[in-house]
Amino acid sequence: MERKIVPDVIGKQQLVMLPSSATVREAAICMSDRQVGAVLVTRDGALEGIFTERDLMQRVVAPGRDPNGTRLVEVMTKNPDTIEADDYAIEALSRMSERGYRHLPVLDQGRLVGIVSRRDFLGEEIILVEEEFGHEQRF
Amino acid sequence: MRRVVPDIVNNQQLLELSPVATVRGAALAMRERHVGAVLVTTDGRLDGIFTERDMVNRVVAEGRDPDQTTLAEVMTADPDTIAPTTTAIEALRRMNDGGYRHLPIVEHGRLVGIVSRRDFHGDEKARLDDESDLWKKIG
Repeated sequence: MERKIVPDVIGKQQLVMLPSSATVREAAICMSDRQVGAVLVTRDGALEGIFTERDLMQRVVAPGRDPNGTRLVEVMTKNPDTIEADDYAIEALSRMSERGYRHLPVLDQGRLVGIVSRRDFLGEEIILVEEEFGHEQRF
Repeated sequence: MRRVVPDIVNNQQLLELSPVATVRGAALAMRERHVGAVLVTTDGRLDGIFTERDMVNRVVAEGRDPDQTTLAEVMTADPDTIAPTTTAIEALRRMNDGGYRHLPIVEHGRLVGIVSRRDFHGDEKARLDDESDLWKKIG
C-alpha cells in the first residue's frame, strides 16, 4: 500500500491553468467545461495560486463581487500548499483531511505537474468503509 | 453495521432555503454555515438541492446575476435521496456512482438530514493514522 502520488494516484494530466489576470467568469467557464472544482493559477508554468469553487462562493458571490470584473489575482489562494510527485498517496489524503482542502497541486522538483483531488481517492475510501463493514459482519 | 442515521449524522441543523431565495442569499448562508450545499424546501418538503458546483456551472459560467437568480431556476430539482436506515457504505457508493458530494436524507416524504462526503473523512483519517502507526512499527 506504499502508493506514490505519481504514477499511482495521478498519471499524465491535462492541467487546467489560467493566468492571474483571467476573470472569475472565465475560470467558472473553464471549470464547467473541464468538469473540475479548481483551476491552477500560473505564470510561465509556475504556480502562483489556486482558485476553487469554494473560493467562488465565499470570496466572489457571497460578497457580491462581479465575476466579470474580478480577476483571479484578487480572490485566489496565493502560494498554496503543494505536494511532491514522489510523496506517498497517504500523505496527500492525510493533509487534505487535516487542513480541509479538496485539492493539492503536485510539484516535481519545483515544476507543476498536476493536481490531486479528494475525488481521486474515492475508490480507496469505499474500500476502507467496506473493510470495516466486512469486519463488523463477522461479529 | 453503521447506518446514516444515527451513526454518520444525527440531529443536524439543516440549512434550508425556499425556492424563491436568491443565489446570492444561498452563497451568504453557505459561507456562514461552512457548507457546500443548501436544501431547497417548501414546508419541510424537499424541492431540490443547490451546491457549489451548481454555482459554478449554472450561475457564474452561464453569466447569470446571483442577485436576480432564484434557487428554483438553478437547483437540481427532485434530487436523489436516501432513507435514514441506509447503510454508510451504501450512501458512499451512491455518492460515488452519482458523482455527488451530498445526499439528502428523507423519511416518509419528510426531509430529516443530509450526508456529505466530508462526514466520512473522520473515519478515513482514523484509518490512516492506524496505518501510518503500522508503517512506523514495521519501517
